[in-house]
Amino acid sequence: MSEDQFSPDARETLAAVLDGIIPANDAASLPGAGSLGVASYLETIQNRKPELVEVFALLINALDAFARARDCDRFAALPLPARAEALQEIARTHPGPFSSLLFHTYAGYYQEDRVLEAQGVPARAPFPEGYEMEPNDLSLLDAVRQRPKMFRE
Amino acid sequence: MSEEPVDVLIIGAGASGAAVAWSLTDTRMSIVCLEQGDWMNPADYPSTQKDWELRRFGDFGLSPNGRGRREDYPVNDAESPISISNFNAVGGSTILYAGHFPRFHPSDFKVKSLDGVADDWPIDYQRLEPYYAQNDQMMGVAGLAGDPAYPPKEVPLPPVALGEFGHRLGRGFNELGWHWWPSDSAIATQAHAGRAPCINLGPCLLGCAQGAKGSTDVTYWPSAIRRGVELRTRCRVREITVDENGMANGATYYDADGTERHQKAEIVIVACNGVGTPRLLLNSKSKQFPDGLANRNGLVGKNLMFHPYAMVNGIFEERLDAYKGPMGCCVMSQEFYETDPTRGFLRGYSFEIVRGMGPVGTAVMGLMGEKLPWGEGHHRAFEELFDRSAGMVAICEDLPEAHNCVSLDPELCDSDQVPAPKINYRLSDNSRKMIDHAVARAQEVLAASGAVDTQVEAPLGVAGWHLMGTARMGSDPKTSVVNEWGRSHDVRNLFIVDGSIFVTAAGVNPTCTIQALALYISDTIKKNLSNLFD
Ligand SMILES: Cc1cc2nc3c(=O)[nH]c(=O)nc-3n(C[C@H](O)[C@H](O)[C@H](O)COP(=O)(O)OP(=O)(O)OC[C@H]3O[C@@H](n4cnc5c(N)ncnc54)[C@H](O)[C@@H]3O)c2cc1C
Repeated sequence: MSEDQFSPDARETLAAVLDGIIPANDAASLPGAGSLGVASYLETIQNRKPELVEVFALLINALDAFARARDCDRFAALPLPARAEALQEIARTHPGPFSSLLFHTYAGYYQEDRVLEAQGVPARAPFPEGYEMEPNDLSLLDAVRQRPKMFRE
Repeated sequence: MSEEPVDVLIIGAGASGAAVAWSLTDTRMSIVCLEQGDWMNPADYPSTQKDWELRRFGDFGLSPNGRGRREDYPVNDAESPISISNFNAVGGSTILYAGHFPRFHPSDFKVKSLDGVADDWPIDYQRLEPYYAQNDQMMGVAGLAGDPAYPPKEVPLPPVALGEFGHRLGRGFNELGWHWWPSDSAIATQAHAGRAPCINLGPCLLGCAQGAKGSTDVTYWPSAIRRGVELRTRCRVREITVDENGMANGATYYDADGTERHQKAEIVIVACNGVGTPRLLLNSKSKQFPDGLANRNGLVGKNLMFHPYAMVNGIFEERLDAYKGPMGCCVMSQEFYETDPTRGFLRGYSFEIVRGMGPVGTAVMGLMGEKLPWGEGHHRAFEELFDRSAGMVAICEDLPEAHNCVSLDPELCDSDQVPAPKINYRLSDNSRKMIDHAVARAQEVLAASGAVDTQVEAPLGVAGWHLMGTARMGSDPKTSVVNEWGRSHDVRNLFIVDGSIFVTAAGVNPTCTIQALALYISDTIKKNLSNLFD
């Protein structure tokens, strides 16, 4: 396993963290960001931006340490309210790294096909298909057309 | 190392450099253009990938300081509330521009006579009109004839798609009885001159993968090159050199390998934009010009004008479909364009409707703006934001003030160790009052269009994309850098064709006026070839 891939333990913690950041969306029948597999996106990103390896590792370790301090061997084993508390705590104590995790989690989650489809957006890049748009209704301009010239000579 | 002398050396291959190069090919002169950037490959543009909105935070960022591209030069804009946005490539900043293409109005050339502020231009709308028309054809401008805010003009292509949001705003403007009109846009809405038509991708400001947007790498350059111009990319000019008589005789530059070279020329034309041009002139020091080239009166770099922007976003209850269609081009309003002293400020502004963001953009911008929480409440907040938020910008006319300027930073340099520009800029009282007025009016029209709430950013910090005034045009050599046809008062074979030569900024995007001026200056050069340096 290379340094920029998450270990199974780290992945388990991360999945629980991501579910805490973007929880399941019951109305849209979507699981949370962790269950949806956004950890794989974070792996891709840390491959591209090696400085993130340390950032994500720091947060995972801090959250597992939080769990151990509460007699639980890892973050993912904490009950949900305690996980939320841990995330609040880490957001306060590690604001920079946590913001970075939020940014990449949001970015990854909203690129997932299922999420895009739930938003009514085609799950693809804009190019090459582009988008159909309704024809222009230029009759709306009738009142403007009647105005006298507005510019000064 | 020195190269074969050429008749014309153009520095900068952006909006103005491309137009002047193309136009000069009517002559039999040999023309070389040096450009520090490279050709862009549209297949690599962000809209070809699902993560397109994230590239704004990386290699397609607005600021050269954060982009990490080799061809960029840094800009110290720490002492300006508005930071510089540009792009350095074949096509220059038109690679990123929105393509909004409104002309100046006749009154914009006469602000001193009409409103008693700043200075009149030494030329007028009528003089530029044929060049506007020629440029509209070359760039492929879409719009609608009959706008009462302008003298009659033809528009080559039908308007861009207004979409659900544009129609909605149109109804809002109608309810208030205010002017609005489909934007003049350098976007091919039908196949035009070999360019494919717009397919409403959205992210025009990240380069147009379709090639429908009129960036000059797809408009002027292919034709200029076919007609004989030699465009040398990845060539960064360090300084323009002069002979013992103080005439420009070429430029020293670094090629793609970093090797120093010298290109000799009979005529030098600078087209590096309102920041790059004064930077280059100030870096071109010699015995004859110890304070920088063409700078005997100390005006090079002074009178920098941006357009202070106010951004007002409306929050709507309904979906807007606003992530589709050209991001920056939709509808414009010039209800508050001409001076009305009862408003408490002079001159005026345009409104431009801007479309909304896609899901990723909504999410990360929502995060950064602290509007999209994590954890519980995330999905509800996203629902309220995504495709329910879009708005408008006000482009306020800036007035020239000598203390707003581009100078050389004493420490900062680019990768070739050429000193970088430093920006000093303060927002004037007039601009502040105009912004306040614009924000209040924008909120009114958004409410009339059904917005339940608005969010304001004014002045918009990233909006240093219209760069003007730093080598102003005028007939008096004491108060201007170039004459009425772009020729330096101090150096008779040196011309400037970019936004630096603007006398005033008007309240519209500048590029079609920059290019019309470049074509006009080129025409004047062509007509005066026999006595050009007299
Ligand atoms: C995000 C964004 C949106 C915009 N939207 C609009 C819009 O909707 N409508 C509008 O009218 N305008 C818009 N603009 C502004 C528009 O892009 C500029 O007005 C226009 O490109 C300026 O043309 P120019 O020729 O003066 O300079 P540029 O197009 O900036 O070209 C200058 C070129 O000179 C080169 N150069 C500089 N220094 C050197 C050197 N020392 N050696 C070699 N080469 C050099 C640069 O690499 C660059 O390619 C926008 C700009 C941005 C960044």
